[in-house]
Amino acid sequence: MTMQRAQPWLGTLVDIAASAPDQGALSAAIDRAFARVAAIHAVMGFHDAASELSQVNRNATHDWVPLSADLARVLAAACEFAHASNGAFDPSIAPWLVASGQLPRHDGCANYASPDWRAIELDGDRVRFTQPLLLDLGGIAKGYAVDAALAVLHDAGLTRARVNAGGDLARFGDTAAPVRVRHPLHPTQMLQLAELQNGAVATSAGYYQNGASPLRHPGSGAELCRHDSISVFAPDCMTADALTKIVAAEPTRAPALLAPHHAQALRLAVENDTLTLTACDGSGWHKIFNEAAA
Amino acid sequence: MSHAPAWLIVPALIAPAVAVSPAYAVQYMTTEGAQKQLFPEASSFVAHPLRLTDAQKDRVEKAAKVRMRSPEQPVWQVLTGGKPAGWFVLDEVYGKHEFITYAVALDAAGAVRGVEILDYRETHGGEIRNPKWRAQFNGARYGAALKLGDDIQNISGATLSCKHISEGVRRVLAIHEVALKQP
Repeated sequence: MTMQRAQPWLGTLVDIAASAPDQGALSAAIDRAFARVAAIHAVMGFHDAASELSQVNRNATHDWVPLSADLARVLAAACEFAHASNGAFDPSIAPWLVASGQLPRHDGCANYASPDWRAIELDGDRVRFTQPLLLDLGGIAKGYAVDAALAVLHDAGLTRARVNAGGDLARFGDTAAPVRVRHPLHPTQMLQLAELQNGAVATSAGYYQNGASPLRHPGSGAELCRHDSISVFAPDCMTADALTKIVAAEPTRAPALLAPHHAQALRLAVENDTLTLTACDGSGWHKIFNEAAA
Repeated sequence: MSHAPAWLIVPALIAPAVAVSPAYAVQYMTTEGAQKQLFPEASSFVAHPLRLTDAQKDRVEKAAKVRMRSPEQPVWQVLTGGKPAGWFVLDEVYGKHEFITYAVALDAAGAVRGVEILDYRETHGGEIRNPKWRAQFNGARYGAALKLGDDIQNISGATLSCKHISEGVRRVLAIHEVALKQP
């Protein structure tokens, strides 16, 4: 049998669908997967002034701050993506989003800090900042939570499962399933992009944002993805989540940055009334499809 | 696409799935299903529908800093072994593109112990503002059998913010404070 449930976490709806022969085992596994997401939400939430991330933001300029295993893993991955992309992925751009009202302002945090991921000093399970910083893991924590929840479902021995946190999704199963994305200009319309059996996809886009896009170029602060969407297919969702930001910010460097992760990017754009789909893998960008937009 | 990894299958031609309305809708569970999910240990759910006075509604809106569209709120008192164990509150929120029915479980002290989505639908927006359109889902809410589609849709593409649900939960907590809290 198949079950599908959804709960609000991580600032979005987390939807879990899974199949197994035994209903009791299935239901218990989904409970445990949601509990895992809830725990990660409590650690990494920027909005919650009491989260572990907020404690890091308040205290890491002054002293070493100890990290839970989850936060240590995500911070390490964030720094690796920042390093590999030379800052095209940057977890320290939160002050821009605070200034635009897209993230809340917390007392005792460096709300006006200059972004610079190089000032994050990670030492295993502790962290400190070498200059005032404000970190937001919105570009990577959802993907991590999706992977963690899917791992719970996989360990439970289910036949197939899918976790979707507002468009960051990962699945495993005995068959492939179609993946759809939203039309960049008409977000309640869906376009079928690909089929996925075991792996992840994340999409970054500006739709559903009134006014400013939440995606910024870490170098220039320019808004990204106003009229297009970038989807990255990767073996795991944290990688896919982080790579969407890198591909959006640095499309010309995308092939070299995607290749080490065996990842692939698909860009949907509407230009001159034409819907265009281009794909990028280690070999470069290729036009796949275009058609007059409806 | 010569470097496509084995786990990814990109069709030769990407066929746009042409617009249908509502574009995306999932019925996750019935009211009864959500009650069992959120309070598996409960012995019974006693209907306790609220109709707030104007003064109560004002207090809720001030405390929660969100508007209350209707003074009526479907609520059940949860009993375990005959004793009050909490509240099950049904609520709905809508944004520009989405209409969401969800349930909030409050424990006996009034703290949130869980939130489950019952029904989620997206559309182009106009009909969401139409009370008649919304009313058609009341049947499903109050316990008609739901069937889960075979085609579980995998939709990538950010991100309907769940801001409205956060506001709704805040409103439910204020309603508890004003109209449900046991002295």
